[in-house]
Amino acid sequence: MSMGMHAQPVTPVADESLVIRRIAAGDREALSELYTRYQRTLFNYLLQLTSDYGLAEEILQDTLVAVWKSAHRFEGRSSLQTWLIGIARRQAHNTLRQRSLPLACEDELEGLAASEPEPEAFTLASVARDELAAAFRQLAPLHREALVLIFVQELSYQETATILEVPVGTVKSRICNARRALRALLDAREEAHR
Amino acid sequence: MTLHMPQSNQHITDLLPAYINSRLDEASAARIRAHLAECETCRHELATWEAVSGATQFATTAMPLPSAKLMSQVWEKIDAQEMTAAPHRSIQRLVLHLWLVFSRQMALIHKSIWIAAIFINTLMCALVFLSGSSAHNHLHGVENILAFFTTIAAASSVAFIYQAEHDAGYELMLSTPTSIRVVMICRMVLVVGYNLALAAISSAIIAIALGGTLWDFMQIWLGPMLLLASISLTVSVTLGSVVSVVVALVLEILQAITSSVDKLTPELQFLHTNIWQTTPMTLLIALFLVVFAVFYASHQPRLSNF
Repeated sequence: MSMGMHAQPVTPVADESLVIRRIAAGDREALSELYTRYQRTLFNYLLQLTSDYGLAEEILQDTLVAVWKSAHRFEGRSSLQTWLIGIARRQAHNTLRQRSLPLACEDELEGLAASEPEPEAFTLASVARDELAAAFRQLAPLHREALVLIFVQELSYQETATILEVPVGTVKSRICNARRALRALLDAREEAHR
Repeated sequence: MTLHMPQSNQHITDLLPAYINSRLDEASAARIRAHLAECETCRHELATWEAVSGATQFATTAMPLPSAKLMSQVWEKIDAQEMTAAPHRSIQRLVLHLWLVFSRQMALIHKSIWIAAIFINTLMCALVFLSGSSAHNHLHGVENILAFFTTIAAASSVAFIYQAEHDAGYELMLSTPTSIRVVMICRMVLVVGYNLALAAISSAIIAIALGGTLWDFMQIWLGPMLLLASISLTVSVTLGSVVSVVVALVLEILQAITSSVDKLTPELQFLHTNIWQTTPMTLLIALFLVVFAVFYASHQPRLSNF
């Protein structure tokens, strides 16, 4: 297992449609090129949905098989990155459902996005980054997923909404809820220290 | 990305994540910068979102990469799926091939086979009706006529489906790589099916004229027809068509004699077998003989092998 140095966002491939067209035409080298470019993006995303490394690998394999089989259907309506993450998400949900594992998006009561700032006893900005990162790892997959898509993959609200198959308003409320959940985890930790 | 911008006196909390990840268009970003310069609350919010963003990136920085062999496992899965998809396509091709072989046999089977069957059935109907009132009173006579003619029609037709010397079409078939078994089965089904249909039509005409159901008359000849056709096929494959027709005729005559003896001397009826009736045993023997003939024929030399 090799360790990633930085989770840099993927810059778009110069000619994304050419790579996909080559894959659709049965060019195996093109799929390998695509994998080399997007493996970190996809694997990082999948590890937010399941903490099982082996299962994430299996879903990634299925994602690439699905890309191989459905490349001819890519029409460029979304970016290649959005399309790939969307396929990975569907594969993950299928696998988790088949194995009766908890899904990231079900039975969630989405609150409205907080349009007004919320008063806080202490600011998250004042918390040490590693402490905040530790709290992030404790978040529900649903919240980790939304935060990673926005802040790591640097997708727009619309692209995130496309991947999550929800309205843009739900994306906004989900990341606000993720922030609240982060806050709650830190508050609980603070309480425990007292 | 252009988003609906709030009034200058409204806070912009929900736009700040998009502002941080640089997914706003320049005009929107400029308005946000202007708002932030005036609004301390939103500056505080921005700092909070930046902390969340930084923590998210930091937490995912050291995420592991998938194993080096993942791509080879992907190719294994793709190859396995393509392998399982291939037989599906070949099944479609096989069905199409079988249909083509089957439909071509209609043109390749010698015309005399079709004509002879019609002739024999017509003769049979004529005999039944010409036998007049005596036949009406003695259904046994009608049964004998039906059993004899229908079975001999099928047996003589089948005797000639596997003989290149009598059949230019079959000779042509033997020079192609098409399986002899497939050709044999197709021809057997066609010829027996044709004779069966003709005999059923004749039986229906007789049933209407003499009274009774179609099945009453069909069961007289169905089993014997299939049995004699299969015997005829086996003999023609092993000894030749002429011998096959002779054997079929001899068997038919023997059957007729046995039937008459039964009638004259009922005390000898224990010698009579029910093999010449429509029973599961008759059909099983017929099936066994057809399987034997098909396998025997496929082991004979082919023109395409010379």
